[in-house]
Amino acid sequence: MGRTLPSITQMFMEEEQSFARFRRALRRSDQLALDDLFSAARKHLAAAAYASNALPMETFLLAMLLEEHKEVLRLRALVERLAQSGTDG
Amino acid sequence: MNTSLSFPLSSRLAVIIGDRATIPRMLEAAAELALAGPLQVVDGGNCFNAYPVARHLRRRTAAVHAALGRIRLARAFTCYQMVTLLQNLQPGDQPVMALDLLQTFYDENVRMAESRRLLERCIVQLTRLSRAAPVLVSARPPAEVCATRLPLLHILQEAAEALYFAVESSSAAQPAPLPLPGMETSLGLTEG
Repeated sequence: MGRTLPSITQMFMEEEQSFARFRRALRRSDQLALDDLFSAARKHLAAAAYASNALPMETFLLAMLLEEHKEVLRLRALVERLAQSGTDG
Repeated sequence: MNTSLSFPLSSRLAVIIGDRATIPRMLEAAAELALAGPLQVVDGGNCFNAYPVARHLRRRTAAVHAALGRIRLARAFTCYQMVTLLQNLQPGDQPVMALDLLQTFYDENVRMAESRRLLERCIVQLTRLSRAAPVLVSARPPAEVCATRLPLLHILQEAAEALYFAVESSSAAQPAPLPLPGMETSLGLTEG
């Protein structure tokens, strides 16, 4: 019978491909940042598959945001630690 | 040759002949029809992809799930299933869209005479349904390996009350819209 819907990985690649022209128009440093965002979203494909969203790009965007927020939290903790060690010293 | 076409699809059997590239346009048409009301889709080529439909709906409305919920989809994987699906459809107000209708009839495991007989039964059902609501059928010519099935396409063409050939537009990045009930549109279709 085969699949009746593309897999989430196929959808992800399709969505990434749809931004190919946008990526091409960016400067190199921005291209790398965009690639990082898609790499971040790729980490959550299993969760995105489970979410079964009719608009998977919404889930991918949230996955990107999730990874960005994790990075913010990590950096915030680092800054607090450095500030703490600065006041202690 | 591309022609602009004004095509009010009202309670008739319209057939669109084209290749696989016709499918995204059919899906856009499905999305447009789902915005207006219930839609019955019968898929003979396992080609109904809900994601592009959802994307198209999202551009048109915030109530994506409500519109998606108005699409009733049935897939046929054999020509026997296709006949049964169409026989079981009750004529109503909702338009009917049959995607890649002939794909299951191109199956070499089914004798040509049998495929022909089943297709004729399908056409009877499609005609019955088209008396109550618009019926939009898409079909592809057979692949080379089953080129002997070409007469099936001719049978479908003869049964069509409106016949269109989808024309490839190499420059168009976005697919052209398909004709919808009560909608006048310019198409990349050639009237047959």
